[in-house]
Amino acid sequence: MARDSTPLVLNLDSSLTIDHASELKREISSALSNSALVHLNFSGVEELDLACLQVLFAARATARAGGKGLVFTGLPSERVRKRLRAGGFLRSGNGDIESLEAALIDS
Amino acid sequence: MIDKFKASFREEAQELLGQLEATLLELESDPGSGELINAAFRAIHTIKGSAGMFGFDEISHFTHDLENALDRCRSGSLAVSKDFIDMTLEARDHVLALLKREEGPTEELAAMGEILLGRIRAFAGLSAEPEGRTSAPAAAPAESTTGADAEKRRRTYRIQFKPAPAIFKNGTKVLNLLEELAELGRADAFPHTESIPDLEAIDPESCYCFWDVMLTTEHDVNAIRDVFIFVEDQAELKIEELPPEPEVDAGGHARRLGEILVERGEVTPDALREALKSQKRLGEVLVERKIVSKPQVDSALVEQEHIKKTQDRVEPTMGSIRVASDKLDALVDLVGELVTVQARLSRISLDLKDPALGSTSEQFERLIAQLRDDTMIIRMLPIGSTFNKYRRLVRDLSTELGKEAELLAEGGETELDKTVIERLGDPLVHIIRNSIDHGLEMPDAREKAGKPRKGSIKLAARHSGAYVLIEVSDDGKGLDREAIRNKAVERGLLPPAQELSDQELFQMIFAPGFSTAQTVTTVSGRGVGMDVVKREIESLGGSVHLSSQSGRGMAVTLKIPLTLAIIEGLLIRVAQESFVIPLSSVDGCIEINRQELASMGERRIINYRDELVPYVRLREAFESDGEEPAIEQIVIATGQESRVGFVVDEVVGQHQTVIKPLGRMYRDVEGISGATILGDGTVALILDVNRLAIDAQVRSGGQRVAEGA
Repeated sequence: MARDSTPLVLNLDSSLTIDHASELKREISSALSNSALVHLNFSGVEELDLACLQVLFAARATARAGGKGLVFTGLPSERVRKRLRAGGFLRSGNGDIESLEAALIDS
Repeated sequence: MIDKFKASFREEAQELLGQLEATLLELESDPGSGELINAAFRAIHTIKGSAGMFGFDEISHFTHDLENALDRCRSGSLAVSKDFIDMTLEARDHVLALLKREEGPTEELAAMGEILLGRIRAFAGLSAEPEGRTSAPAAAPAESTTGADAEKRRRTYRIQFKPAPAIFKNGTKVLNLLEELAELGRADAFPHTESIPDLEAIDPESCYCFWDVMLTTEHDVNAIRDVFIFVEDQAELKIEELPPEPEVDAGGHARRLGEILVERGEVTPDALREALKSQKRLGEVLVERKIVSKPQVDSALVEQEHIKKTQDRVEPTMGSIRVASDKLDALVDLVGELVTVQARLSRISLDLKDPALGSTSEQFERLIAQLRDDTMIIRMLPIGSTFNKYRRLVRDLSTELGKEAELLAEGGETELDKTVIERLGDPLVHIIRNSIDHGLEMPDAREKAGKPRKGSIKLAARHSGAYVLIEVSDDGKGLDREAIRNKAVERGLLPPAQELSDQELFQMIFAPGFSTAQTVTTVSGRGVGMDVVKREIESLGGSVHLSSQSGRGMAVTLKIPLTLAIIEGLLIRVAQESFVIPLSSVDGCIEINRQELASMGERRIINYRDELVPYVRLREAFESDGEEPAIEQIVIATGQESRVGFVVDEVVGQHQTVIKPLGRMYRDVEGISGATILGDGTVALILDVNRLAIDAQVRSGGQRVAEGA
C-alpha cells in the first residue's frame, strides 16, 4: 500500500486532564484527517486522567477504522505510568509506552 | 511447638534480609526502579507481619516505621538517595542483630535501635505517631497503635467498580481512586473499555469505563469501601471476599478460568461443560460461541494470574525444602560406599559369567550411577550466591577507606560442593580485604597513574578437570617486591644476601605474622590474613598461587579439588599399579608397539590425528618395576591447553571413581590429584592431566605442531 509515510507528530500537552479533553479530541481528529500516519508524543506528559485516556482509546478506534496509523511514542512521567498501572492499563509493569499501546490495541 | 515456628521464622527472615541487602545495593545504582523499591518494601512488610505473629515484638516495632519510609518511596514522595540506602542498610543490619538474639535485645542494642528509628523517622518526615490516611478506615490505626486485634489475615477480594457516566461532572478523578485502592495491598485491575465509542461519537466528559479489580490485602472490607466513600451514589460497587484459601486442585493449580467465570455468573455450568469438550482453549471457545465477551475472559484471566501470584508469595517454600548439612553429608558417604560395593559386584558378576547376575548387576550399575549423579547435584551450589555476598563488603570497605571500588563477578554458575563453598567464605573475605586495603590505590593516585578512579576487584570461578579455580584479582598497584623483601629480612625469614625469584618472594607472604602494612587498619594488616588463608585452602586439599604485576594489579588463585566428586574415570594399569585418568580429559587411545615408539627417536612425540603430541611413559615417571609388554597403549588426554599421551600397559576400562583427597604429606606431589579405592580394595592414583601435560610439553621442548607438519 503506497502511502506517504511522513508522520504527523502531535506533541501532547503536559496536562492531559478533562479540561483539555475536548481540545485533545479536536486535535487528534484533525491530525487523523490530514495524515495517514500520526505520532502521539507522550514525553512531557505529566498528568493524564481518565477523560483524556478515553479519548486516546477512541482515537485508536477511529484510526483503525479509517485505515490510518496511530503510533504512541515517548514516555510519560512516572506519576502517570503509576496511575495507568493502578488502572490496569499497563499490565506488564515495565511501563513502556508500547505496552500502553498494546493495551489499547487489545480493546 | 512455638520454638519450631520461631526457628522457622528466623530462618526465613534471615533469607529475606539477605535478599533485601542485595536489593538495596541494586537500588543504589538504579534509584528509580519501582520494582526494586517494591521488592524492598515487601521484604520488610513480610518480616514485620511475621515478626508480630510470632512474638518478635522488638522487630515488629522496629520495622514498622521502616516499612512506612519504604512505602513513601513507593508512592514517590520520598526519593532514594545514598543516605537513604545507607540508613536502610543499617536498619537491616539492626534487624539481623535483633533476630540473632535468643531473648530480648541488650540495652545497647535497644538504644541503637532507638537512635536508628529516630533517623528513619526524620528521614521519612514521620511524626512520632503513625499517620492515618484521610480516607483510611478505622482499622488502619488500630493495627498499629492500639492492640485491638485486627486480624492480620491476608484476604482476597473481587471488586467491581462501575462509575456512572456523569461521574466526571463533580470533579471525581477515577484513576486516583484506583490508585488508592492499589495502595491497600496487591491489586490487579482489569479495565473494561468496550463501551468507548470512536472519536466522532465520544463525549469527552462522559465516563465509559468500568473495572474488575482483584485485591489481596490485610485490610478489611471497610477499608475498600472507604476508598469509594465519596462516590458511593455515583457508582456501582460490588465487593466480594473470596474464600480464605484460594481453591487449589490436586495438581496444585490455581482456580481454573472456567470456575472463575461461573462464579462471576458470566457463564452457566452447562455452557462451561459444553465448551470444555472442544479441543481449543476454553477462553477462545467461549468467546467464539459468544457465550462471554473477550473482555470478560481477559478479566477472569487477570483474576487467575492474581491468585497465582499471591499464592506463590504465601507459600514460597513449596519448591524447595531445607535439609541439615550433616544429613546430606551422611547421604553422600553412603552413596560413595554403594558405588564401591557396586564395583565389586560388577567384577564378581563378570568373573562368574552368570547371565542373570550379569543383567541384574548392569541394572544396578545404572541405578547407582543415577543415584550418584543426583546426590552430587544436591550438594552442589553455584558459587555465585557467595560472590554476591561480597558486594556489600566491597562497598562498605571502600567507603571506610576512602577508596572507590566495585566488584565484578564471573563464572557465578560454577558449582561447588556446599561445604567447600562455606569454608571458602573467610579466606575470600581476607583476600578481598587485602586487595582493597593494600592493593587498590586512592582514587587520586589512580587517576594520576592513568587508571580509572574506581578500582575493580574481580572474582572469577571455573572448573578445570577435577578442580575448581577461583581467582581474586584487582587492578591495583600489585605486590611490592621491595617491601616484602625488607619485611622478610626483618623477620629473619630471609638472609639479606639471598636472591629470590618473584614467586618465592611472594610465598613469604604466607608466613604467619607477616604483614607489610605500615599502619594496622581495623580491616586488615594485622597479618593474620594470608597465612590463615593458605592453611584453610590447604586443609581443603587445595593450593594458593599468587601472581602480580607491579603497577597493574595482582591475582590470587585458589585451586580447590572437588573433594567429594565422583567422576567417570578411565582405569589403566602400569606394572602392578592402577591409575585413573578423568574420562572427561580423555580423547582417545591407540595401540603402539615398542619398535614404533623407538623409531620416533629421542623426542617423546607421537603423531595423533595430525598433531604431534608429547607423551609420558608412566612406567618411567612412576619408576615401576618390571618390563613393559610388547604392545602398549597410549591414552591421549587433553590438559588445559595441550594434549599429552600416557604410555600404559593396559587400559582396563571405565570406572566410577570416588575421589578421595591425598593426605597432607602428599599434597605437594605434582601430577597426582587424588586417589580412589578400587573394588578389590586397592588404591588407584588419579592423574592430574593438566600438570602432566604441561610437564610433557616443557620436556619435549615445547614443540607442538598443528596439523600438516
